[in-house]
Amino acid sequence: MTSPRRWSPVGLGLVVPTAFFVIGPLAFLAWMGIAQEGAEFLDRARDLALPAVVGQVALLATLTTAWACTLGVPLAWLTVRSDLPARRLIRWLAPLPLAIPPYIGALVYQIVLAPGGLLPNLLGISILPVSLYSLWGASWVLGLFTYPYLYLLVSGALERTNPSLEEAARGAGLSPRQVLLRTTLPLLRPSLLAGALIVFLYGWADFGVVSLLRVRTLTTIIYDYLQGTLEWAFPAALSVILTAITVLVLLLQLRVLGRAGYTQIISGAKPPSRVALGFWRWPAFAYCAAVLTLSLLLPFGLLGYQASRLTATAGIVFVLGQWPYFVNSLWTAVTGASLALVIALGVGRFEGLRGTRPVSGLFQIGYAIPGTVLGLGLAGFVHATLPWIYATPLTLIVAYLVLYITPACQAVKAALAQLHPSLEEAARSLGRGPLSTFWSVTLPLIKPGLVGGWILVFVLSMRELAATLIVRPPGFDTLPVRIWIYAMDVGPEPRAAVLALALVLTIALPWLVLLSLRSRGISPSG
Amino acid sequence: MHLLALQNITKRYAPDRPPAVDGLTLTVDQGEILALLGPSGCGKTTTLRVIAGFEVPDTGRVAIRGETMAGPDRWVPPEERGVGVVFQEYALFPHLTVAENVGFGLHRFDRSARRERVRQILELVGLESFASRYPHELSGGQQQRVAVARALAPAPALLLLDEPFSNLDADLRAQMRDEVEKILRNTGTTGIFVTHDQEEAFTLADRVGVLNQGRLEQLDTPERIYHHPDTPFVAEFVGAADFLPGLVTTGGIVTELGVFANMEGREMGEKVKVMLRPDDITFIPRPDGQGMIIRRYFRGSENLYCIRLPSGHRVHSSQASSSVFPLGTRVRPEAHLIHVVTFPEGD
Repeated sequence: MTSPRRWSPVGLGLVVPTAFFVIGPLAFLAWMGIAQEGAEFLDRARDLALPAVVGQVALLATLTTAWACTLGVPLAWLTVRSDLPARRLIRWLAPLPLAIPPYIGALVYQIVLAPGGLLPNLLGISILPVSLYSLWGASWVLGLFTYPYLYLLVSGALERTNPSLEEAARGAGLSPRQVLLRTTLPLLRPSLLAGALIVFLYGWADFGVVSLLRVRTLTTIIYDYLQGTLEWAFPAALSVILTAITVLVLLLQLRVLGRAGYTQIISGAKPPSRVALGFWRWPAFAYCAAVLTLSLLLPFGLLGYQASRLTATAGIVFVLGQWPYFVNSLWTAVTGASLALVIALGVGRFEGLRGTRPVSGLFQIGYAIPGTVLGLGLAGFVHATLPWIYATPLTLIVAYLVLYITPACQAVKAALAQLHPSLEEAARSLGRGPLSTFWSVTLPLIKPGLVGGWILVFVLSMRELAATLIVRPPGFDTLPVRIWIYAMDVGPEPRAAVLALALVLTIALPWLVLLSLRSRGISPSG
Repeated sequence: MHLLALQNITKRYAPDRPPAVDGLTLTVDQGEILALLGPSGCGKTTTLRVIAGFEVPDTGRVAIRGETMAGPDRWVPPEERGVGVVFQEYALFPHLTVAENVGFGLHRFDRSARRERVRQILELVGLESFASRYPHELSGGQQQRVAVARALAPAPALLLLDEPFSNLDADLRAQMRDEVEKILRNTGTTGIFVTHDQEEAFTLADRVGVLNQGRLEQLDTPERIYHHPDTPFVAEFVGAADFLPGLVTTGGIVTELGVFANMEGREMGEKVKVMLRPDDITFIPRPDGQGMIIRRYFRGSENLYCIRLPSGHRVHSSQASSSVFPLGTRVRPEAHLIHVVTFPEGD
């Protein structure tokens, strides 16, 4: 609107430091990685059988993606487009497994599937034919707790599909099955691809699950190196490889999505018709129930069972002892989320100005960097440039900010996009200045979006493990770190379960708020 | 002093595109209702936004009551102009009730004065009983009334309405048009509204400004605009019009349909085209008639006939709804012009 808009000093003051912390770690790693001598690197790579490890990680990510698709896509179609029994309940439950960090999922399945666990005991054998401590076990766990990404994206796309397109296909003489294959699924391509990509990169960059399940990947090698040697060059070189492949996958996505227009949101269009499943109604229900049991019921039930094995007094004493770690987690996540939101708001207000696109593009790099890599790069970069914040909780907050500024920006941008510009103009014409307009019109209308964005960043920061392990100051443990250490050192014993339960509940409550905000579908446009 | 004066306003959105508003100059007097009429993209909404202060003009001056609002050396932000705006989509604040919407511009009033003013203005638009509703709980016509009430509440010197009736059904539109006019007249508010509907402009406005490609083609009373258009564009935009070539002679303007008085003092020997409206043309069916009916448009209240003349020119004639002639009927067309309007041949 009015008078040529420029970046304000405040906006720049927020954006420039963030950009500094996004670029810095990567530049540091690239520099360190390249400084490594080629011959020496090749020697070590051979010792570690690096090509085999890379292949193994790629296989892990692929298996995870396939497994998550198998779980999430049918669930999305069944809940949105069919007459599945208990559709609403399943729809409400399906995104909830996101509240369980995969490393906690690994903990849970250690209780069930590990040698001497519940299932082998039940079957009366000592070990299962397929070990949990393998590629298969890791993909099993990762897929079970990342499928909601696919579910959310695909079901969202299914809801937005304009039913007239399918009716047009029917009108052109296609059978319902052909409509599904030739109209519905092609329209879902972008959301399917986006979801699959998220899951693939999650598997590719995961540290928590693979470390607990003793699968050797790039991230665990980097971490072990850091612990053992405190030497930067070799892990930095590995990080460069890890990041390069991540970036490659992201670029591939841009190419595939290409030019075709897929959005066909029609507001007020009638909801899509539901397909009658007939005989398949109950088998389909059983499938959904099985997915939810494995990803939701079993984890909660087992954590609760395991925790209840502790006597009440022992439990309370233990929880009180762990209280400081809980506080550490909470205040760093709250600070990170608040800071991310303020910066995102600063960027969002200037959307459309020269320089916004590069800025949000830059922030996206932060989202794509694997946590382990960012941790390593940030620790090294801060150590070299800003030693006074090295090994303080501030580094941790910066890590959360760099990792999760993008979801915050997306939430703010989506909220602002819903705001019709004439609403702000109306306020101006009624005698309110820019600031008063922002407080009385803009802010109340984008508030649901802002709350959603804040919760998202809070939840993500609360459960962050890989980067936290590396950049946390000595002795400054967070809840995920405590859980991981317990699970690594002594396995899935009751005290680890108590902590895991505490973390999951802390995440699940805001996550429920976020979901209910979405389903209420507040639309602030007039 | 004029209430509003625009002087040579130009606004260009992109350097490589033609200006949205191009050298616009006009004045509006206190209490007057002005319509800006034109096809989409003619710059009428941009003009409104320049007056409201949502756009900064590239050149020219906007003055309200003689005080410069936008000019080479001064720019007053929208909130300090005292101009009310009714938006096409109404832009009601969805998080506020009707009363809070209407009271939004009264932030300088104290509490009781504000309540009184809101009550008074809601009464004016007949929505007293809807004060505590939210906008989405209202019908389209009610939302429109809230939008008008909200814009009028701070008693603006000038009210701008952007396509205010385009979102309403046909019968509701006519009703709201009457109501809005009554409110503007009763409160003595000066109004400028933008429309692409010539009927709306004619029935509501004291004067109509016809815009084309950012330029003001004509600013006049509705009657003058219709009967004495300055340009062929205006002639065609505000109603159906045919143009017949004619030659100016001492006896009058000679055309295929007879000789018309040279009312505009055109020079002898000048080639012109004469504007013919469908209600100027009648015809008598005759086997030896020079014209032939080639098309009939049934319009409900009238029949519009298209008649081909021997020269190949076509003219349209409006006839009673019940008078039906088959296609191909030979007719003798006659033109009865009260106002003879001509344009130079090349126009």
